[in-house]
Amino acid sequence: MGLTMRRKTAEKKLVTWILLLVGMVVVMSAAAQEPGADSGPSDFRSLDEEVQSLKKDVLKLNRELFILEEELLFPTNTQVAVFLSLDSATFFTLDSVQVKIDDKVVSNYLYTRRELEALKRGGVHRVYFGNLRAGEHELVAFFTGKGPEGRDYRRGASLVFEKKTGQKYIELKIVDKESKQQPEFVIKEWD
Amino acid sequence: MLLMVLPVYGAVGKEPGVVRDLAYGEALFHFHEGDYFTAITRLETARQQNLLRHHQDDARLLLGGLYLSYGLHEEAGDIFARLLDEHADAAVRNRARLYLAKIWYQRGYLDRAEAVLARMQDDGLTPAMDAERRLLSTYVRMSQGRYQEAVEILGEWRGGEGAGAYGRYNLGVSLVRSGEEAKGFALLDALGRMRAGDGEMRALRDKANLALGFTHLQRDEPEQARAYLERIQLEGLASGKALLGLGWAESSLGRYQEALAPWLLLSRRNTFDTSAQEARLAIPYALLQLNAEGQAITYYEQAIAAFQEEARQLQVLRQTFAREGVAENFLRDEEREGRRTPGGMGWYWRLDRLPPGVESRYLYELLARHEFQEVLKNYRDLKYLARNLDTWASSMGAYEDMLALRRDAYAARAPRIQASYESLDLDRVKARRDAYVARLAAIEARDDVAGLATADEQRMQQRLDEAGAILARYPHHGKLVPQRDKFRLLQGVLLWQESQDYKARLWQVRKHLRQLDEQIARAAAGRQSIAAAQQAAPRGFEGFDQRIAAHRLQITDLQARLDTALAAQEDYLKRLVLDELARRTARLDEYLAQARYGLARVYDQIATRREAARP
Repeated sequence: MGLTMRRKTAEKKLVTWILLLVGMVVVMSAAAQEPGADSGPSDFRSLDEEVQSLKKDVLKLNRELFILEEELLFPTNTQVAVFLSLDSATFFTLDSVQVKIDDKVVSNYLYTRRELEALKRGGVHRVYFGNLRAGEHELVAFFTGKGPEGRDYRRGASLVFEKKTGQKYIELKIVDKESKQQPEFVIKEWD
Repeated sequence: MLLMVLPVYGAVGKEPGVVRDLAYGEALFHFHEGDYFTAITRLETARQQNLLRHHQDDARLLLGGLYLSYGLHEEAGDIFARLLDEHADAAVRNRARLYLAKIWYQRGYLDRAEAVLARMQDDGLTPAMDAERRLLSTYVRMSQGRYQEAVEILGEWRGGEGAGAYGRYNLGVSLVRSGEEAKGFALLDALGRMRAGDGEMRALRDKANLALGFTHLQRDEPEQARAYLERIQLEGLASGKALLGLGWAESSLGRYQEALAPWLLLSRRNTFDTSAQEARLAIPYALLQLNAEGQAITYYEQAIAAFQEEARQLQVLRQTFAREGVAENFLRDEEREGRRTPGGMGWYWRLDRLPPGVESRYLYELLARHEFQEVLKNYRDLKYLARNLDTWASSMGAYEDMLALRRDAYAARAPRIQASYESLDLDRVKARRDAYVARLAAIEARDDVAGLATADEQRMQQRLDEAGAILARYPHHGKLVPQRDKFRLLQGVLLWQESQDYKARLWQVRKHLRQLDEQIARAAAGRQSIAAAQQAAPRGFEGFDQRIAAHRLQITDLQARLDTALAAQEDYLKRLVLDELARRTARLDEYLAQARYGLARVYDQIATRREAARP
């Protein structure tokens, strides 16, 4: 009788323990689904708050350092940036781009799938950031990839531009030319 | 994270076809590429430099979403609140309200969250936004203990299978816990019978049935418990607990043979699984009820050996974690495989895969806990920030060197350039230029074609003038008639040639004068710029010096704070892990004691029986 009682007690204990475990699983899933509902102890909260405050301070300092770096390395009077964007680009899948300024290669960039996706979603990639003296310069860009019907495709485009004392921004745009069913490579100067 | 930010960003109603601010396009590139840290930096910088003239709202929504994703509620809240103040567009206002409500809810301001949600309008709500609104409204009421209202919100909602099902599950569990069992059971029962389209929903259905099954077991209602537990998939995550519970349900009904089937199946699974461990204890118990003492002894002995081995492994693991730490152990795998996203941080990052090795199997339950994941994620974020600051710290040194070089180069070059400009007598050059202009004006006034003669023509003219002088001395000499004719002819040819080229030469001279003017202006500007640079350069160097020095201090300060925070996160993680391992060890010790006790009891029974049987 005693043994049976003890067994029953042990059995109940097990079941209770398991129920506690299930309860924990339930709490867990609730927490996983509720957006950010943290029900942890107070030291978890204070740790978390310190982390958020640190993140905020580091982001702020990072921004200041980023501006400092730009001003120091690329002063406004000599700064030149070349960007690349895709507009639709049905007829061309970009692999890489090469940028030459005054016959000197300043950038060779090979795009990853993730970066291409970012370009397709409206992102603009800074291909080159550097310094140039004031005066006339020539930019030549070569685009390599797959053209219509998956054929290897390499095209160039060029622009002679005047670098004045302010920042100079140039955009390389790959657009679809519907009428010719071909890609078109346009170089645009930004003021 | 993308899912979190994109809806906010999508509130402006488009994926940007035409980017009208390059800085915004660049931030978008980093955002879509998954580099959120850089995306925030670029957006903040572009805002500060006023480079977002055409995409101000897009940029604010994106930045708000990114801040929120990093847990920077205050900053995100400011942005969304301002958007609400300024925007008339219903879609943008709804989106801003939804995210504001999330922020208030996350920070525990339930009344504010409820008020913001109540002001959302049905117009222009996408199904996904509607689902989020309802779910959030449910959670707000659940947090306030207003279960009936939560039931009503979910009850009338027909859409959103996934989110709605999770909402119902959480609500059902809360209702049972709060004592409103009938309502809770009804919700969970409906979930337990739902048609699940995918693995995630099947797992949720299993969880609902498991919760119901164990609740009925606890209430000593084994028949009902069995009905729910039998619905659970054999291969799902809940199957271990379901098999264990099923055995207990059968056992409670006195059907020990039937109880053995699920327990034996379960005991052949991993020895570290708690349900499997319990099954190892339950099997000999059932065998004893069936009077199979010999088999019971074998199973008890096997259980004891398995528990001892597990306890040994747990002990090794506790020592390893105590010695080597936790966080790096868990993130090492991600680091090695290069699975880190470019941005390196993320509010919605979760450790989705267990690192290989013995430790993970003991901790998979801990890993599923929100608290553990949060602290691990914070640790990971802080490591990223620390690396970022380390890079800047080393750059600061390089920038100081660069500045020193520039200062030296400037000091060496400036006097030379100054001297060369000073040696250039601009006034004299200007006077000469004025003389040329006056001479040209006189030539033009008289149409003096000879005034623009070339050097050859001038020499030719000189020779003709000399010849003319000789001929003039002998005006009547008959033998000189042919020479006179030739002289006139050559004079005419020269004049014709000069007249012919006069306009072109005039244009050329004017062009040269213009170029001269430009050169004089450039030289004057150069001199001025040198003078200005001489004054500004030392200030510029000094300005950079001061900024670099100030930033160095800030970096050092933040590095120290990061180190402290990292250590605190590691301590916290270690405590969680060691506590979990200690709990497992204690549980195992208890199982071991029970197994030993059970075994002793069996031997005791046999001995007692033999004793009684002895004549």
